[in-house]
Amino acid sequence: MMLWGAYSLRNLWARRVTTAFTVAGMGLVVFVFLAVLMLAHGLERTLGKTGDPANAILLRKGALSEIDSSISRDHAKIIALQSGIKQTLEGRPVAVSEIGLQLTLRKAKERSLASLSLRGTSHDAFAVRPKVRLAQGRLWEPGTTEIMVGAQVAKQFPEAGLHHVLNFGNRAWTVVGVFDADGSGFDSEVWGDAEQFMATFHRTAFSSMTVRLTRPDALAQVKEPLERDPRFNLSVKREPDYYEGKAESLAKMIRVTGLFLTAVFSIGAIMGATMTMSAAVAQRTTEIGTLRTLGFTRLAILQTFLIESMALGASAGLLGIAGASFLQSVTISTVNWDTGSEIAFGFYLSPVMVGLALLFAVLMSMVGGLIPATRAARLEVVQALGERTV
Amino acid sequence: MYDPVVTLQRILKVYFRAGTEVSVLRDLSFSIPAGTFLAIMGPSGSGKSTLLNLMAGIDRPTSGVVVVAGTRLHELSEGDMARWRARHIGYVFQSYNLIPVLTAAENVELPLLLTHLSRSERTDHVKTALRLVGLGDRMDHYPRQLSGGQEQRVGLARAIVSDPTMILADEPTGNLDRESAEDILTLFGRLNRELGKTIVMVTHDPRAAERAQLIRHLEKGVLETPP
Repeated sequence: MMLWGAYSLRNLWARRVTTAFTVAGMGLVVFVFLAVLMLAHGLERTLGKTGDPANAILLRKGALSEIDSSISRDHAKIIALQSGIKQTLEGRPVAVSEIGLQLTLRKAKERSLASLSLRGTSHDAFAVRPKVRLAQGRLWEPGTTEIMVGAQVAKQFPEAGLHHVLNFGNRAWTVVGVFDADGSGFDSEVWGDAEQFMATFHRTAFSSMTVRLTRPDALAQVKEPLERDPRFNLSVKREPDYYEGKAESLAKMIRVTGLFLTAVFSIGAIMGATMTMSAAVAQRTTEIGTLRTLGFTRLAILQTFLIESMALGASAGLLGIAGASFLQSVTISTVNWDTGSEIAFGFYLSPVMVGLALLFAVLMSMVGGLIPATRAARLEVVQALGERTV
Repeated sequence: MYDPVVTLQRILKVYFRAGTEVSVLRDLSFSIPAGTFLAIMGPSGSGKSTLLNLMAGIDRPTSGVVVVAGTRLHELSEGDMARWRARHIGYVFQSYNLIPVLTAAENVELPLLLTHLSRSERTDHVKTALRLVGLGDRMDHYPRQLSGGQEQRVGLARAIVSDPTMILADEPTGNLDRESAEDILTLFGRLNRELGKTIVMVTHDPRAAERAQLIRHLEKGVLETPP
């Protein structure tokens, strides 16, 4: 009913200062709720984007990450010939053997030390991962101590900028290029020549292999024979599945902590809605008596005050969503507990989250408005009119 | 047409205040023929408003039978009583009781929200009712933009817009100046004479009561027998 809606909205407007404070308080809770979801989803999305569904990653069976995995040089050569792995026009397998290490650098903002993923690889990495492209400078020269850094590393670690020299493994490494990995986790990595890294860090084996499949559905063709072969002792996973798993602990911690905070704040917001609506009922007792005299039922009165309360909630929801949408331009950089390396990720807002935030806000306001609305509905007409009863 | 439109039989109404029993209406029986303009007079505390509230179906007697518009009110549930009020009662309050956030037209439209009328039909009814009380040009005004007399005329339009069986008015001129009070009483007279509406008005004011066809006095919960 249009008139009924106008009645509720105009009453909120008539008490606009109280309404504004209540909406602001609830809006803040929605903002926190949404920020948590956006952050956790942003992390998962960043790592999820790190993989390509057309790629498979090969690790030693039982290894949790590339750091504790190893594949010998001989095995790597044999594995690359497995059917189901894409080949170039020249008949070379589209595969890359890599070594995963860690590097400690100082961050720009906090001046604190942070651990970065160091990936010893080859130029084949760009064929296996077509989304990774050169953004500045040039590729490293094989057989040299030249390195490239991901876009987020260049942004957040001033000493790792283009043309800077990094000292690690008792050698000096020059940053000759910056690559853009389309917002994926590779943006938080440092890449260089695998052979140079292996020599520097006295490694004889690779950590992992990433191969491009002939077709995205060719995983089984690679996975089954390689995992069955006792020589290799390998575990084969689709690349996005592997990287998504790398976000599990941190995403869970963000969600648990954030949702706990949201739950605590929401109690305050619900109480705010209850107080606002209780004041509305107290101010409009005669109005309630009048409506009941005109023939409106107790249920209609209950609905009226609930609609009003829900309108408060919906406004708060929109305010929270508007505030949270600005977070999309913010990037957070922190340690990923699953890898021990720094990972940069943003707040990501999806339509489902917008719906969830609105639902959450309306639910809070409904719970907050229920007691005052019930009290309004239970008023006796004569008592509500507050006039002479004799 | 219900005749009589109101029948009260052996009505007893008792309130409990601070643990004390207060009898407001005692063994009250009377009826009101359809089409009557009745004024009920009496001093404060005599039970006038309670009597009106019983007839309006917004209060229930401690004992006795209330039959209004052919319905035995004490047999109705809360919800049915609300729906019955919407159909049969137009109530005019002393303090007008308009909803401040709604315009005159929206205030008058309220009772029609409980009917099955379409939006355009409701608008037509509202216009007719407001024109009848002389406020056809004040439809979009909010109560705060109206004088007391105009507010009460909106209250009267709201009471008649759904064409109820009976109009009940509780001190309708109590808050008005003489001129506005006269306007309201003239409207009551017209509604009674021209449209045959049954009107029961509770008042302190003898000059207001004189405009009714019939005056009954209530004293300490007992209705005075007419001579």
